Amino acid sequence: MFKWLSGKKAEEPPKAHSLVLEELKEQIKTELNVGSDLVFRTMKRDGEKLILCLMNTLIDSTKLEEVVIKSILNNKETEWTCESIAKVLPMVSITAVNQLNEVVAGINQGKVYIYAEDQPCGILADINKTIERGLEKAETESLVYGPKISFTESLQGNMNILRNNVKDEGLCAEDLTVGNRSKTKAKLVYIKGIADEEIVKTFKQRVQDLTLDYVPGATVLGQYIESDSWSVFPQLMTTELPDRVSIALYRGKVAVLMDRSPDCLYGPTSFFAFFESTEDVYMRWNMGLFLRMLRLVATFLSVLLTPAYVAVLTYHYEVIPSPLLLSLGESRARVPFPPVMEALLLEFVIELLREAGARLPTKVGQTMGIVGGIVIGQAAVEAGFTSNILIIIIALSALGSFTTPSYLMGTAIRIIRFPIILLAGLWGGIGIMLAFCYFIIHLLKLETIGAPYLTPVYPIRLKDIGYSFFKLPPQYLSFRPLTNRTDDKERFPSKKAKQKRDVDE
Amino acid sequence: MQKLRKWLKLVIGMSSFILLTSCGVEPKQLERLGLITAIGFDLKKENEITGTVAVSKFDPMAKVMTNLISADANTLQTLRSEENLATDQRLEMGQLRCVIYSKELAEKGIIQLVNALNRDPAVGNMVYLTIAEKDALSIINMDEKKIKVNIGTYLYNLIRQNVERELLISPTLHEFNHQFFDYGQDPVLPILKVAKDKVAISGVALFNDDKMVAKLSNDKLFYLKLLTDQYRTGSKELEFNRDEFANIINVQGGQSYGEIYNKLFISIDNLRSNTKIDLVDKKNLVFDIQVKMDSRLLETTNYLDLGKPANMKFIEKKINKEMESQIKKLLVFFQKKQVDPVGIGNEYMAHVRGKPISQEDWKKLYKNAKFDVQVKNTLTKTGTMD
Repeated sequence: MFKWLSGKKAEEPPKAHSLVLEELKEQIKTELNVGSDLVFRTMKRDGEKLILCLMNTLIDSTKLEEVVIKSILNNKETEWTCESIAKVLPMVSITAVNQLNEVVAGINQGKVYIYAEDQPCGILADINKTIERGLEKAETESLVYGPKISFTESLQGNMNILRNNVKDEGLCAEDLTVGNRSKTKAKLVYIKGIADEEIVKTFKQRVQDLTLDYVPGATVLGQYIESDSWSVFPQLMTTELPDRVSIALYRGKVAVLMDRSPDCLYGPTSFFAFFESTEDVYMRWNMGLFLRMLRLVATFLSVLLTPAYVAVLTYHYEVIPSPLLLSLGESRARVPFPPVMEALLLEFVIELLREAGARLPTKVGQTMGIVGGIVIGQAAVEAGFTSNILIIIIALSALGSFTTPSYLMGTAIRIIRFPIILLAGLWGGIGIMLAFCYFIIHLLKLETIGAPYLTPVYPIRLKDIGYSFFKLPPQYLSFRPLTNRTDDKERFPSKKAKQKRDVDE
Repeated sequence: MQKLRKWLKLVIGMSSFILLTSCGVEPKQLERLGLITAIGFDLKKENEITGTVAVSKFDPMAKVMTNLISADANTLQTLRSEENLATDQRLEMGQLRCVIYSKELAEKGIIQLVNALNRDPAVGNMVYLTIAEKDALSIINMDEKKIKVNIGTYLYNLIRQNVERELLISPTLHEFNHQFFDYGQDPVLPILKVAKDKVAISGVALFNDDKMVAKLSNDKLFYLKLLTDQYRTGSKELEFNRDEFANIINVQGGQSYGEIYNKLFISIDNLRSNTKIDLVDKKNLVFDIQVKMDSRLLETTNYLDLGKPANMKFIEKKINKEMESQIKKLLVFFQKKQVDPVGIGNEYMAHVRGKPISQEDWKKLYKNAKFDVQVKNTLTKTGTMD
């Protein structure tokens, strides 16, 4: 899709920096125009000169003072050479470099460049410090049941959580860099022996092939690497929950974690995976099944209820059952607009309420929800703006769309309602059918990292239905989802799970 | 080229939304419609009928109200356009629940008016067809304040409720069509009467082709239903001479049970029934009709000793005999009136091979048919009441 972005510029030939300290300073200063952020500290001893170049907004100053400067000053015996300094620094990550661009990149990443004059190379020591928030509960995916820990913005921390969740020797974390300019660190995480190599390769290639200056987060990365950018449906899942990622990894999926992004991107995720909550997994299977069916039904109603109202009231009055006929007709009689306008208007109000509630602080947001819901709803009916049956229908479909665990999918569902309402107003039931067929064909054509989007329904994988559509008792899910084409097919021996165990055994 | 075609497709698709709007379905907004819930047809004079429609109307200022509009015409279509001229809301047939034909009309034949309903796609197949005992207008003109709902819904519920209780044979448009177009069976429709500000069912009309020829009272309906359908509920009261039961009438403590009647009535409640009609003799046209029933004894007007199995056998026998004679009488009555609501003709045609028999020929044969009726009623319970 983004072919036009991949036109590569000719790279500058690398060059070594000047051996004279003053010139080195100037060189770095011209490369990094950051003013007082850039700090140089020159040290002298018996005619030997040593310089520390660093960005003071990126480093941990106590580390600099306690570890770097102290150990250099304390070491009075040896000369200041590249090797000797490397020897005395009690640090893990140090590198010897002499190319100017490497030095500049290092300083930019929060490293300190230690260079003794006239030496062939200097040392980059990592004393980076990043401001991080602590671990909190997941905000976008709130749960009643199950672990609440969520990812933060730190890649290091996120990897730590994930590695603690998945203590598997097979857990691979390949390094990736996203963004030509920003050079954001990212990790491609999968479990070797479970994840299909083809999927890993595709995922890796898509991320590596990106030629972008900057990617703000994993969600955006997902938008860049998914197959159809025109679609309203998200094709890759982003989640804040580490346990969700670990469950996905063991099912053979591949995840990408990005630095400075609290979301983890993983795939391939089919349409029905977006209706899955981790809660389903933690619940007993029958409750999980109920919840999952509830969500699917709610989604279905959310998409079709309002259009059905519009179609029935505009074209198909025949299908209204007679007990409902009077109340429907009575409330409609006061409304001056055709049903399409009425429905669109009310949907618009609900969207406004949702959007305003999301933008405002929580406390104000709540009040607004109540004010909006009750006052506008009540007043609209009394003023003859809408019929009260439509209010119920709209509220029901709004509720239905909020049950989707994935916020992206919930929004998609709310959006596709509008064209269906319009078509229902234009052609009635035929319009609804047309729109619905269009969406089904569209979903059939979509793919997620090379895998079909509508599995296990199409192509049909009956065995997988227990993973996405329904939930089965745990002993029947002894295999990993077929759709993910995992290398290791079995999670546990199925025969053993079905054995009845007596007390004496 | 490929790209151009894609654009062309898009342009055609988009323009169809804008340009083809009139080719789409015609909007019928609910609140702008006058919904016909019931139609009554009366014969006005030679070559003219009066149609009266009950129209539910949604008025923003008032509550829902039902208007009655009458017009005279020859066909249903003209009738509707005539009536449309008399109202501010477009009349639509889609919510039609009940059609009433006057007896006078029904005796001349109603298929023209039924066919008009068949041809209207908006009219459902589950519309109930009924016959008015006198004129349709008096039924459709019921005061809505007294029956509390609009007349269409009232009639619909009246019939549905009784069909569900199995007191009535379902008179939907679908069933009428089926029975009418079937040589071997004739339609049956309920007859409505006005009784003290209410509409009630007074019996069923028997049809020969599309003409009503006879009326069957409610108490005979049980046997007709028994012959045509399977019963799951429904009850029947039987009348007996008390002397025949003298042996098993239990006199408690030397006192005889209250004697309001000089006859004995036994009421049974039908649990299950199964009827088999079989052509046993093709030449002499003898039909063997076997009715198997499981029923329970609900009520007796004299205290009978039900404790002894022999007594139960005796009652069963009596009931069987009574029912057999009643059914036979009914079948003879049907033969005399040249109607076949039971579907004897279907049974005949199922047994005779070769060229299908014409309707006229069948009617001639039907006159001479003989029936051999056997009822096997088992009283399974005597105590429980519902």
